[in-house]
Amino acid sequence: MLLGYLVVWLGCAFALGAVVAYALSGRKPHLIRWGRGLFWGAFLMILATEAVLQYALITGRYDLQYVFSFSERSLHLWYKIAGAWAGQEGSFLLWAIWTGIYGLVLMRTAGGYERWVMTLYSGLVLALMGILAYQSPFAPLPKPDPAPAVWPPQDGFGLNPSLENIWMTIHPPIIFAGFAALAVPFVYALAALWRNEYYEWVIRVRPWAIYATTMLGFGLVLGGYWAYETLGWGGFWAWDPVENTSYFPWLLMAAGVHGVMLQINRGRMVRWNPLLLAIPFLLFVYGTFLTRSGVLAEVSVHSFDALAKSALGILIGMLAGGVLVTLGLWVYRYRQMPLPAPDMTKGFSREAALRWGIALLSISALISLVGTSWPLIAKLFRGQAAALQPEFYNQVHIPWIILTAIVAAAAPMLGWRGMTLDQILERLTKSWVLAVLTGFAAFWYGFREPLTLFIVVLLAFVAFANLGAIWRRAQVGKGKGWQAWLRPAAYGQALAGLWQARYSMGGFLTHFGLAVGLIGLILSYAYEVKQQVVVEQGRDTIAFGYRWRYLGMTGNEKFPGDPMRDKFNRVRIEVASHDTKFIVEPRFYQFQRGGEVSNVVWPHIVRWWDHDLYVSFFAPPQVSADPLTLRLHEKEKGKVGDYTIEFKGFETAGAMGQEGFRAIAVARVSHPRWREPVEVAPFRLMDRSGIIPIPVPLPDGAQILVGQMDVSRRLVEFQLIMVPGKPETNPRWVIPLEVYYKPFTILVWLGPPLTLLGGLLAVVRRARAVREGVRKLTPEWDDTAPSLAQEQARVVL
Amino acid sequence: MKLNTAILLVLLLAGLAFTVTAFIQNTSPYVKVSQLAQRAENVHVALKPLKETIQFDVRSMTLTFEGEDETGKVKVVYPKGKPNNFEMASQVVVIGSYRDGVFYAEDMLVKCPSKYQGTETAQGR
Repeated sequence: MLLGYLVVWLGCAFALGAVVAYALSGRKPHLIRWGRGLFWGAFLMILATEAVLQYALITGRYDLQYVFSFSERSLHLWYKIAGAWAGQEGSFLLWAIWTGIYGLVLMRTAGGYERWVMTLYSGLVLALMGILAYQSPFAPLPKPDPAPAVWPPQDGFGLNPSLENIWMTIHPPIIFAGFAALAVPFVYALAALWRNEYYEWVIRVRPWAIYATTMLGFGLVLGGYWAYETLGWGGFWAWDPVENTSYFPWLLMAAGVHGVMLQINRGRMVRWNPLLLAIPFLLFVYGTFLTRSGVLAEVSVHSFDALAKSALGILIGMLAGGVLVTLGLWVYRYRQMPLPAPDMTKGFSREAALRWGIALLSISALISLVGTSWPLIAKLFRGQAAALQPEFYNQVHIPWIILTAIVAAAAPMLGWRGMTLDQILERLTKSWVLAVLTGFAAFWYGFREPLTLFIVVLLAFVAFANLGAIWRRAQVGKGKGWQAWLRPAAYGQALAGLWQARYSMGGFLTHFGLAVGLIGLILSYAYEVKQQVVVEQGRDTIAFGYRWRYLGMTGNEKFPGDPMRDKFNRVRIEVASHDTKFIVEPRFYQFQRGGEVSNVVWPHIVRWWDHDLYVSFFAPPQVSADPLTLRLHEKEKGKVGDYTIEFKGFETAGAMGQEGFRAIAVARVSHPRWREPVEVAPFRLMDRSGIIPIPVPLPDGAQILVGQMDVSRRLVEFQLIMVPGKPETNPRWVIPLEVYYKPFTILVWLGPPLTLLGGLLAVVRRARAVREGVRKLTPEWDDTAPSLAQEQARVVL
Repeated sequence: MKLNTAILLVLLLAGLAFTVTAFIQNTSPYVKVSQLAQRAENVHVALKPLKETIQFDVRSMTLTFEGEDETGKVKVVYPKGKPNNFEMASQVVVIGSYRDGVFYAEDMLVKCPSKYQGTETAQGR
């Protein structure tokens, strides 16, 4: 695919040109227009790369390694398109696309910072295109030796079926939107250090930092939804290295957002902010290195391909260079940086709360970083890899979440200047009372474990405190008694108030959503009930207060005898209690390629307002080799599976106790699929070696035999042996279900969208405030007056 | 301010102590089969399951198999069913303890075919 290589290399050339033009534009200002043009060129080449890859995927160029590996003819068009980010190369391309898009916005909005940020940013684009040049999605498929008869192959290996679902088309683009956005604060921080300017940049970087936190956070949540909906292990989050590598940059960027707030509002954090905003991007690059280089291959449940050497080299170069330059520049500039404004707070203040918030977020990021790197650290220093059990993160997050919740609940109610304890208590009373009431409700519902209950109350406190802040901003209910709410018009006014105040409620909304989502996550995890429910065909099972009955597999018709080969095979189970009845249909499918069998599971989730019933598998469905058994007295009739057996009577042949003696049980067997019942006479034969049961075949190929008999009580145990693989015998399935009862997952779905909305509102507000903020910072008569600028910076934008 | 600093310090130290304790409790080393005799409790072992030794009892949902690494073979008992894609796995990581010649796995990691799965398997065909 020569065209593909060509556009990637052209992209490299344009990006390099942009770096040079922007770097020189300080001396020759006209070059800035060249820089812009060349950056546009690089961006178009990134788009062209994607277009060529899409063309190859859609038209099925299976002579390309990438297309062969991640696509196939029978794939739906959507998944052919999504194949563009199914692999390593494609996800770098996705990263490059978002980077390009943000670059165009950055170019137009960076104002006086354009020259510096765009030089660095173009360098990043160059590095990404460089990785794509060495780890090309257009590499040809290597021809095996000896060459097969048909070459190139006419069909691809196909997308992994567990990726074939709606989340595959949503989650990667969103999370890369977050990842790529981390680069903007990084270049701003470096540019600020480079220019030795510490006020304007925070105003410019603020919307970007909020945007990056919002998108990355939402991407993480979508990943959790994906895992919950499709992977079948019953949870949203598992502390897997891949998850962690996006979690700690997110935490630190969230800390950065609060750092910027502190600087703009209070003139604090001036010297730390460049570091705080640069590091998340470096952490992300480090995470990419961890997960793509194969160093974690032993530890993670994800499997990774190592990158090509040269591409990995660029990545390591980016990381090492980034860390060295950032730290070096920061240390070098530290003494020249202006001092932060003095701490003028008294007692409890919003400023103190923010400082605590930043500290807590940073500490948590550090712990997760060390934890995720632990296998690597252990290997480097002790020569032996070691894994950290995911339980570690759960344990350390308990005290963490308690402290963070206290801070996050208090912050919106506190004034900047500080308040006395009495004032705080007065302000927080309402939300605290509501939180405690929530706690009582939870206790009444059955959530009684003290620690969990305490954390839930704290998080409810956060939710109500932030809701209260929104309430006040919107001036809902201001100066009105409760009677006012009897008039319908009051609700209209309240909505109008909310609409009016929409842009100023962003931050509060994000915290509200986070608290709600976390309550759901904690309850659904702590009060999860998990049980293995083995449902056998023809034999009901009782679990979770329901009766579970196997109905069949939907894949049966297309693939007689082996329904699990059907891609859309669902295992139908009827679940019933005394007052309700429903069918669960978890999906199970085995796909075979080249002699290897791979299982694809899609759990079935039944949702109620207060809990989910989550049905997955803990092992593939099995064909039971065990016989169906039925004990019958003489003249008795019974049903086992679909068979009806009537025990007509005993007969004997031969001399009792002698070799050749037969004890015969005459029975009449019927089955709905047979035209008429059959009469059979299975018997137990006295042999030299003992008594052996002799089976008799039934019309459908199954066999009936006499297991045990008690002649004196006229009791016989009939056994039916199924013949697996023979469709007409209707093999008896054993379905090993793993069933979870998970309370209040609904909150996990309700909270994060609100956080997303809040984050985006805040982005809009802060982006609009950039121009105004910068104007206030730079009075025409003097644009290098830090003390004045510092004062001005405190104006709430 | 002094009181604040003291509180902060105490909190930090307590947090650090807690984190380190949790850390030590939850660290489980990767060992090779030959090392199991020395370190038997709560370890990770990366094994290649030997296909012909895999047995699965439907009734008790117990999986038994022999696995090997470059230092030796060990019998593994896993009572929690057969993980998806177990047959396909070229390598599994078992987590648990070793007693009387048998490794009792409490948990098992099977490489899940994620989006990073890829080209090596494809080349084989």
